[in-house]
Amino acid sequence: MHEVITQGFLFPNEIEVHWSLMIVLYPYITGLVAGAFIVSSLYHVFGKHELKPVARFALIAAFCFLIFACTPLLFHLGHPERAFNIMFTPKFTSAMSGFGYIYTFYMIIVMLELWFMFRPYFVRMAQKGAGPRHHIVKEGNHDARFRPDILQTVRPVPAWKRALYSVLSLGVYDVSEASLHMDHKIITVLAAIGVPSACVLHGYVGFLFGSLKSNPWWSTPLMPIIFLLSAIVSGVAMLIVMYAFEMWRKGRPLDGACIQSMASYLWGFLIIDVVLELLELLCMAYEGEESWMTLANLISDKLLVSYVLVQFIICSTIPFVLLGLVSLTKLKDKTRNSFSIISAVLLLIQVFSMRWNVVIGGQLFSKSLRGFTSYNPEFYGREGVLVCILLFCMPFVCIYILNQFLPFWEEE
Amino acid sequence: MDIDRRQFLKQAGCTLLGGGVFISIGQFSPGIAKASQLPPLGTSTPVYGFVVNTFKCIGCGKCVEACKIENHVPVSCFRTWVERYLVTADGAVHVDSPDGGCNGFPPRDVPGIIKKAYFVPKLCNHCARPNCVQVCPVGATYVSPEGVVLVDEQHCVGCSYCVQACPYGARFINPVKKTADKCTWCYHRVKRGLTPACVLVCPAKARLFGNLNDPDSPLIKIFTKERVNVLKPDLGNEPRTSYVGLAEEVR
Amino acid sequence: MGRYRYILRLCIIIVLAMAGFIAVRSFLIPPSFGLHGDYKYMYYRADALKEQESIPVVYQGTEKCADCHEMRKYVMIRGGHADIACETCHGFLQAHSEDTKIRVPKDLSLQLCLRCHQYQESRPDNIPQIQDFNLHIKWSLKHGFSNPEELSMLNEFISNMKEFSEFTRYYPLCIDCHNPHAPGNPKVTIPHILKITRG
Repeated sequence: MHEVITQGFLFPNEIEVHWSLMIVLYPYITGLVAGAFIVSSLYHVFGKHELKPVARFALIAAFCFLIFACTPLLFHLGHPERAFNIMFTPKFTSAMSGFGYIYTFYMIIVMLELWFMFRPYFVRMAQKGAGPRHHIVKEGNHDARFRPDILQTVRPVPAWKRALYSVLSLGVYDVSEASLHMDHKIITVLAAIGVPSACVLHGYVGFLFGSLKSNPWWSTPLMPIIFLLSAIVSGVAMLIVMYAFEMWRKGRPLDGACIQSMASYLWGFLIIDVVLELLELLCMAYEGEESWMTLANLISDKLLVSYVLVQFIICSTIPFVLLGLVSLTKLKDKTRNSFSIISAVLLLIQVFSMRWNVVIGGQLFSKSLRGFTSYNPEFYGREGVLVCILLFCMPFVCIYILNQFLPFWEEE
Repeated sequence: MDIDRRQFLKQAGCTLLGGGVFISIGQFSPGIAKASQLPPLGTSTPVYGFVVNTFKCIGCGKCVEACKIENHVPVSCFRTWVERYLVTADGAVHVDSPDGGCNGFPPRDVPGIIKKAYFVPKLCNHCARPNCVQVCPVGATYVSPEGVVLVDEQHCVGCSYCVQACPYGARFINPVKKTADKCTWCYHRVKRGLTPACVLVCPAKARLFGNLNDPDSPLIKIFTKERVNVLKPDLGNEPRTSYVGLAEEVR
Repeated sequence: MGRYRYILRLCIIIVLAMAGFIAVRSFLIPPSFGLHGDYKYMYYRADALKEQESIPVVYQGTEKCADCHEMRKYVMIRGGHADIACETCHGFLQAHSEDTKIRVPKDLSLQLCLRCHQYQESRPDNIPQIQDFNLHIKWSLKHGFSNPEELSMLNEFISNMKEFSEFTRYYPLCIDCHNPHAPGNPKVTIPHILKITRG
């Protein structure tokens, strides 16, 4: 049991912080899911063609994060083996009960959308012959035997992979114009259903906190909106970072219009998100209810570094300025890209610190409003820092594994 | 082919509205009148109540000790506890509860002249409209027919939402069972006609337990004779534990 | 719909998965789980109520003690402690009530008495409290004893005593003067006030 420092008076059962680092990580990951899905839907539903380069990758990223979204919760539960109780005997008066069905429903939507998106690829790969390794000439030069630079090696698809693709295509190899057209319509419909589902999947977490009348730091109707907006911020920021990383790895240039568009959306959502958070704070301070004395103490003492310094001063102001420059002025490509990437990294930190300040901050003060406790996550242990880092890395591992089976980028 | 923007907004709007209505249905249950989900008064099912008399409590902590022994409560957790209040002349309020009061209260020095001092025993208030029960996602905590709020240890997943929801700090996660746990008004004793352990051992008769359905119950007399109050009435939980002499400093 | 066979197959898979889940769910829901009143507050597993009821009782209650120990004749609790449960001071008596050969625990220490009777500002005035032990002994002397010989010997002892710890070396326990079953008048129980039994 790690050392807990208390100050003032707390109810004896309040000294230990129950919703730990895992509960900070969970909305962070579902936020990334929601944000990445919104970017993908901006292309598929709202027709923002400048986002086409990242649309497919965004959906895959959303899917990989979604698979691991429930793992922090499983590490937190006292009885993870009973986790399915939430689907067997849900009590819908609780915001948390929505998790089981909403998560499953949204997972199905994302999987279906991915399936329809990659179906032509599955069909093509399932039908590829098992011939020997051969070369094709990339450019129209007939005597290419001694020109390795224009030869492209085509490896045949191994038999097990062909079988896998065959199963994935459900044994139907129809890729005619009409069926592709139908696929496209279905993808649009799924993305359209997926947008409110993603909003609910993340919005319910905000409602979970915002509807709790016993905690003045959490209780506000703005909480679902704030959570959702910061989710979109984190998702877009994560996409910028991952897109930049992938293109750097492949040695290709970043699509200027795509980065410009993502940076502009990021700026816009950041502004609304920060304005709403500050508005909530302003209202609490102005109304000056009994709990305000304790909350002001919380902000100025316990959360001074993570809330005031990290969340607002460093990681909101700098991205606001940089992204403002990117959105409003015409910058050189290199400057714009580096400003966007720096802002994206800072915003990823900002959203994590926002989750920390909400979840942990709300448990640091006593409901008697007379005292404070402390929380230092252990490094090892079921809900410790090491598990947090590992769980956060798992979606990236998943992306890497999926890359062996699916093409992420249009050119492949 | 892109779906027409207007069509999309219509569809999204309908989905949200429908979803909102669906979720709200559970909220507008007829739990608005006080204790309306319990059997009406005058029937044979008892409806239990509890009264804490802060004028009488001497802060010996025997109730906390008895509860721990009766219910096998682990060391750092408390189903009930006693708080000591020392109010000095300058208006400063000093509250403490060393180990919940389990081993009594050692003397305490506070700066200033003490104007007012008392003890307040605390426990689960077994509210009539408990928000801790409302937020359980799996139906593991519930209100019994007699109005006692209980936890199903076999079904609880240990998500701690009820612990966060309770405004009185009455709930905790039992480190041995890894489920939510709280005062049960010694339901296993009450069903056998005994009183809760804390009520039994209190030397000062500061804790009273009884059947609100019984017109001869001492509780009914207290409600008519004394001025009683409940903790945090503004939250709407309608606690069924009342306090005689609840001072303004007590949260 | 021959052209869209893959959509049909997809739909079949989804429907089968949902049916499978519904079937599994109906097996795995605990049988007594259901609605027993208002959905917001009374949706639970009915067997849990029975499990709560069947938890064994530890504290027995004063009525159980009275079954064997007739209160007026053998235990004689009078005075300020008359309404206090036996188990408040003797601890839980489950073991003794099951097997009476197991002795009732008796905590004779100072600490048990001081737990209620040491002076604290937060305590109400209607309980006798000891703030200063010197004063306590002197008051007792003034009000409690009538035997002049005993009184003068105790007076001499007290006036030579520097600290209360000296007194407690010889009379370490409250019960040396007070009978916990008939508290208030020390004269009632002390057989030999000056008999120094420990030292």
